[in-house]
Amino acid sequence: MLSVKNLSKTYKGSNKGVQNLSLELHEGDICAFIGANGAGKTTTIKSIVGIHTFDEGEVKLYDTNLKDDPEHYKSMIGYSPDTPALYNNMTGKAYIELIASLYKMEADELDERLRYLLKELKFESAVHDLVSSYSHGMKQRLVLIALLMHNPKLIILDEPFVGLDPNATDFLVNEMKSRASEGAIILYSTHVLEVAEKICNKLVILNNGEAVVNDSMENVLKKASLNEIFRDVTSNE
Amino acid sequence: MRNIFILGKVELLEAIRNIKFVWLAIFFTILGVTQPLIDKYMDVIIKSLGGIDGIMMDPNAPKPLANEVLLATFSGQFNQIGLIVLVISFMGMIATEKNSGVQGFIFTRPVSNLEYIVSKLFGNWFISMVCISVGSIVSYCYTIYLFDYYPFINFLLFLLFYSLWILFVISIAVLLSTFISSSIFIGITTIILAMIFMLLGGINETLALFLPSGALTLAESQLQDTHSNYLLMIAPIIYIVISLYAAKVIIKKI
Repeated sequence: MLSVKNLSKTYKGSNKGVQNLSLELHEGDICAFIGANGAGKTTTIKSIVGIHTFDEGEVKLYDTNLKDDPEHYKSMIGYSPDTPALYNNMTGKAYIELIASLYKMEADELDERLRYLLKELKFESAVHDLVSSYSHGMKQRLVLIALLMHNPKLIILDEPFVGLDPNATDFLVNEMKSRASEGAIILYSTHVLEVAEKICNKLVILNNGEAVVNDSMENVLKKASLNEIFRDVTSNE
Repeated sequence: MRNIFILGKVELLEAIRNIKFVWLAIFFTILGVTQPLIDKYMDVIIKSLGGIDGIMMDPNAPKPLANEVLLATFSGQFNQIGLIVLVISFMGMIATEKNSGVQGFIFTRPVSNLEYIVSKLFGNWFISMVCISVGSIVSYCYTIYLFDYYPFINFLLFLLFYSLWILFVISIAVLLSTFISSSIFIGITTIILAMIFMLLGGINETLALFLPSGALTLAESQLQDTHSNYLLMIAPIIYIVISLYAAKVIIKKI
């Protein structure tokens, strides 16, 4: 279970950030994180994955507190940022091996999972090329491979569909569903509301750093479509 | 420890792909041969530059000893222009990764802040020392060829203590990188601090006992064949440990 309690993070010289956010996700949950630009989605995600320190609150994955045991916490998560930040002078293969070694993956285990991911993401021919030669979409695919190969218990994706072609998008959507059915927790920010409506069972809508909707997708959709709710919430800014 | 080795290897791979090993080693080789050549052929150089009118060359001036030439190479070349170029070569080691988002991405992996910092310190120290060693050994060969013999083992001891000074200089840059985003500002501040420590350390040996530049004083005493006070190693080690600890604390907060 992912438990976020009263998470607050503000930036110096700015009133933007996130205030008092609480969230509880269980095994198998797929939660969409929605909000206008600057609503605090990326700040929240970066706090949950341990890039940003937060001012107040607590983040726990199962029994592991992010602040108390960050290494163990991070060994259980997989994260895809909104902009892929990679070592440009490495080949895709070298990058994957680097990440795998940080997760202490065995060679056999890595080979098996890698074969599947490279095939499904049509990355087999590009994996030996330098990262600097990749397009944004290719970099995004490489990040997804590095994200999924160690079977994380918590998958966090920041606007994962940006730059992906329809095949890669289909793969990711199916993979999210399949990983969730196997017990993973998935939290992702998006502006693609149609997909969120179809695959998510939880929804958080952020507005000015506050969670204005934090409910199951089923309950939310009883009131109106996701599009209408989003417009309604963001029109009050 | 394992992660330090893995991330350190990344530093080395980056240095190989950026041909940093090549250009930095060539640079230190040029610096290394400059001093012995100048000391040996000063009169020829002056003649070729337009004669020696107005310049008095003492024909009875004693030929410098090999260790004096080596000392001039390090204090005059490596510790001035060499240090500046060296700092430029690693001043962006953390800032560039922080600004590009790579550092954030590494911090979402099971890697501790200390492992990341130590990998940067030792990765860049190793790269620097390989390049400095290449230049130094070429300089040593030129010096013993053009002047007289100097025991290689003493020269290696000198390099060993000198490497402690380089480790300290890199630790300053690592510490500054945790709270400064501009690579240029990190570079300039590191150079200024290193120069201040060098100047202060040169005042007397007692003061050097409390300064990181004690490593440099100890290294130079090896070359001068004077009494070596090994207590001079303590202060640089303490400063390096303090820098690493401070960097770990600061990087966690930012």
